[in-house]
Amino acid sequence: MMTRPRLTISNKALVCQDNDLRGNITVGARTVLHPQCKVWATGGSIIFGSGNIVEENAVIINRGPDALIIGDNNVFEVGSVMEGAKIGNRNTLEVRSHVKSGTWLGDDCVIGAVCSTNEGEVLEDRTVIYGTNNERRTYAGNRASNITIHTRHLEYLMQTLPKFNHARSSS
Amino acid sequence: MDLPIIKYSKSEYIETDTGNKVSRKSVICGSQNIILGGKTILQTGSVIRGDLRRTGPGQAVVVSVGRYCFLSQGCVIRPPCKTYKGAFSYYPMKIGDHVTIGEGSIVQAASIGSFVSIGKNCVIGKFAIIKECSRIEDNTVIPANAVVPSFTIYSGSPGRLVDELPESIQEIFEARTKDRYAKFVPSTDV
Amino acid sequence: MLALNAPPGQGPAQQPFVHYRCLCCSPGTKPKSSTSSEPAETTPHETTKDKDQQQREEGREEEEEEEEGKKEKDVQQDSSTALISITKTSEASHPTDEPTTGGLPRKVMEEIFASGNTSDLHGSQPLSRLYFCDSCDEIRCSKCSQDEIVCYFCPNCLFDVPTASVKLEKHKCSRNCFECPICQNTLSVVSEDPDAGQFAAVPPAYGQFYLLCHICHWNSQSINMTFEKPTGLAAQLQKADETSPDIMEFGRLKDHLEKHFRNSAKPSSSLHSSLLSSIQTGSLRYVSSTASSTSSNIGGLSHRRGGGDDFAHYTPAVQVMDDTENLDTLMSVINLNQITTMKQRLRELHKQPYSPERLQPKRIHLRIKKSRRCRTCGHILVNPEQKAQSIRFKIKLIALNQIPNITIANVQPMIVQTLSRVILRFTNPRHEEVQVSVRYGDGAQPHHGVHIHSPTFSILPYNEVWEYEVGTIAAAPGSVQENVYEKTANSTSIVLDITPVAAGEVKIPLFVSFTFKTKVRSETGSPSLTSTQLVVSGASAKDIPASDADFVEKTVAFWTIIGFGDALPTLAT
Repeated sequence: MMTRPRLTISNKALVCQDNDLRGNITVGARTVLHPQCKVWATGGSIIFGSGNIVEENAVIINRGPDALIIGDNNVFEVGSVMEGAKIGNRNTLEVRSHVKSGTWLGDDCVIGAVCSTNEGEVLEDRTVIYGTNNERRTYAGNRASNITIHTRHLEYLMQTLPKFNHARSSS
Repeated sequence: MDLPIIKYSKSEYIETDTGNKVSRKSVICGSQNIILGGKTILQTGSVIRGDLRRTGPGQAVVVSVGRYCFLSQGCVIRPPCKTYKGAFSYYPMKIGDHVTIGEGSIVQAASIGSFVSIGKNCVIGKFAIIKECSRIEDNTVIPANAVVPSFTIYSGSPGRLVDELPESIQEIFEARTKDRYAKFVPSTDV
Repeated sequence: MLALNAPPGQGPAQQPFVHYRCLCCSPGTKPKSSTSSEPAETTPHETTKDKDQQQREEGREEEEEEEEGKKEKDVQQDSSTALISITKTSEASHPTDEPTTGGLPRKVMEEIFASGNTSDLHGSQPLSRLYFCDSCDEIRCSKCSQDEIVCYFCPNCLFDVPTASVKLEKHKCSRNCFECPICQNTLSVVSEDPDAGQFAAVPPAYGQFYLLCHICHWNSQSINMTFEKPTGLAAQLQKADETSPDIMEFGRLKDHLEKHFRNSAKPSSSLHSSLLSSIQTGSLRYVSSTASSTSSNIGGLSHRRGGGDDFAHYTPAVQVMDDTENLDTLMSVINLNQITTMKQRLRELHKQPYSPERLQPKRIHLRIKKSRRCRTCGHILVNPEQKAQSIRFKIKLIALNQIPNITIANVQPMIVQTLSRVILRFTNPRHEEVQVSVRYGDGAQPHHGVHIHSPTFSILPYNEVWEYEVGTIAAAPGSVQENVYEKTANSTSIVLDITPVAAGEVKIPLFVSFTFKTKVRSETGSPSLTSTQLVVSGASAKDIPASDADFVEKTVAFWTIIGFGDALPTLAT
């Protein structure tokens, strides 16, 4: 017998209405779900950490039996598809990127626009996938400024989105 | 070949005084911040994010779209964002006249000039500048901050110049967008 | 007509298309001689006459006729009374049986007809790629017009670069535009501190700015390249460039050779200085290899000058890494990311580094804006405004605006030996009414059965006002006299019955000529009908008496090739 899907939203999170949430979902503090995003916990539950951003038309699916635990400060940009098994912190899934099922993402990875991972691939920290042939590269450089920008982006969304969109609360 | 006549269900589309045809199945956030120039068509499933407005007073317009534009099914128009002088904000986007945006394309450009044709499933990165009279082929990725100059064709990921457009392209795009607007008609049986 | 996706010469296009053929590319035309590209006053009238006579004597041979017809036309158009002569011929010969005569002499018409009477696609292009010279009254393509550089600009920052500094800056942007050494994308200047510029009082930290690729996340900090300020990066880099060993080596070698050339070169040297300098750089290779062979190589140059000379031996200051050493490092590579790709190496031709750490960002190449000139009469066909960002044109004689645009309005799937009906729409972009006549070419291979229902018809002029009205406007009652399929605002549709004789792509050549009345420009006369006609030099207009030539009839003829897609061998069930 199916239990009623449970949606748990932190007081400090922002989940817009007009989006498609299915199954058991937990949304951590300072995480923002834009309108028109899809989060489907058809298998195990999906647990968001803090400070994630899920933009419109982004899809996060967990078909497997285990819970999908999403770390902190990840960005799922417009039209990205996340079917992976594990995702660390501060990753960016750029526009229309595709993380295929079974993929493990480390920290600070960037899946470039329209790029995709292989099924069951394990991406080391700081991997970037780019270009037509999904070339891979480990990048160097300081991420400190990105973290500052991400924090400010969250602040902006928390401030602006409720002016134009209705927010959901826990069921 | 002539463009085919596209029939739409009269109940789905709202026609404004200036001739814009907007699908009820499109997603328009912050509609008070969006300007459509007239005779512009927004098809089913297209998304315009007018809610991501610039911080601070004034500056109410987020997305302005010109005349005879065609936003195909499932395309996303979303203003770009960045930090400038320490402040994070989204910035307004301007789209010119006679612009076609293909199905499933995601646009986060700073500006798109007039007489531009963007193919299907393209990604236009944040703050990209698409100048007038240019064409983006299907499945192209224009990176963030890139500039597409006039009279060029861009293709690939990341998008690169592949060809030039003839001098007559302005007339061609203008004729085509007008023709398409004229052929976007309500079906009679509904 | 709008088939931009099918560039010319790209094999058989399977999609329906309408291509126009430029006379210079017609299979029956000889390529134009170099003399004909000069202003046509130099064309000798006598030879033309001689050729005329010859031609009457000789049988009809396509090639000669065509070339000849061209010359004859050239003469006509460039003589100041061209317009009158055209009118006169039109009055003189007005046969009723021939559909294709208007203002053009019938002979010329026949020659044009003979030139392109084939379904071969070679040399035909969509109308959008063609131009129309209104002093020659002929279609021009990119081959029979010549390009001239109007201005240089950077395609990224869109700044104009003055012609004087283009060469100095090696045809590359000298501002902030660089391409990524890894993925060739354009780099952005980024600050380490997101608060940069917030407080003007705080001086920027040293080396705060760097280049970042948004695609592959390459970062110029990884090669210790940072900048003090976010502008004028190329200038900041140039300093570092000047101290790099290979640039310095080149400089030394150049000094070494220039010393020699300065001594030996005579001031009377007729060679262009840039050519000389290219010879110098081209010969560098030999100099460093062996001194003896060098002197013999350069000898040819020196002997002509009458001075035998030897080079002092040049000793390179930098030693190149031994190849075996290079090989060892390459053998030890286990990860492909540790080595540069071919593409990356070829982007840095003079260094070709194997290690990704040695790749440098490259400045972005400049682009140009071009103007276009008719090779026959020298008139400008296209002249863009000089500003890089402007899309306006001072002159824009594109074919789209001047000759009837043909579109396939309706086509059924074609089946061999079965009649199918197609509708062609002719749209008139001109502000004058045009008379059109259409003829099917008998030289087509295979020769499909084609019946044109209304071979001659008229199209009403283009009028901007119609654009604001909804729907199509039928012509005024009574004006529809021809048996055409449909007649709306500025377009007329006609019916073609096509019976394909063989399976495969159906392409038919159609010979189109159109006649329109145009106002002759006179000194006191009203402004010309179309802005494009203003380009015609005033000389010809002066000589025409305004009284009897207010309106002249002009006829333009050309070939089109229309493809209707594939014909099926049998009825598909």
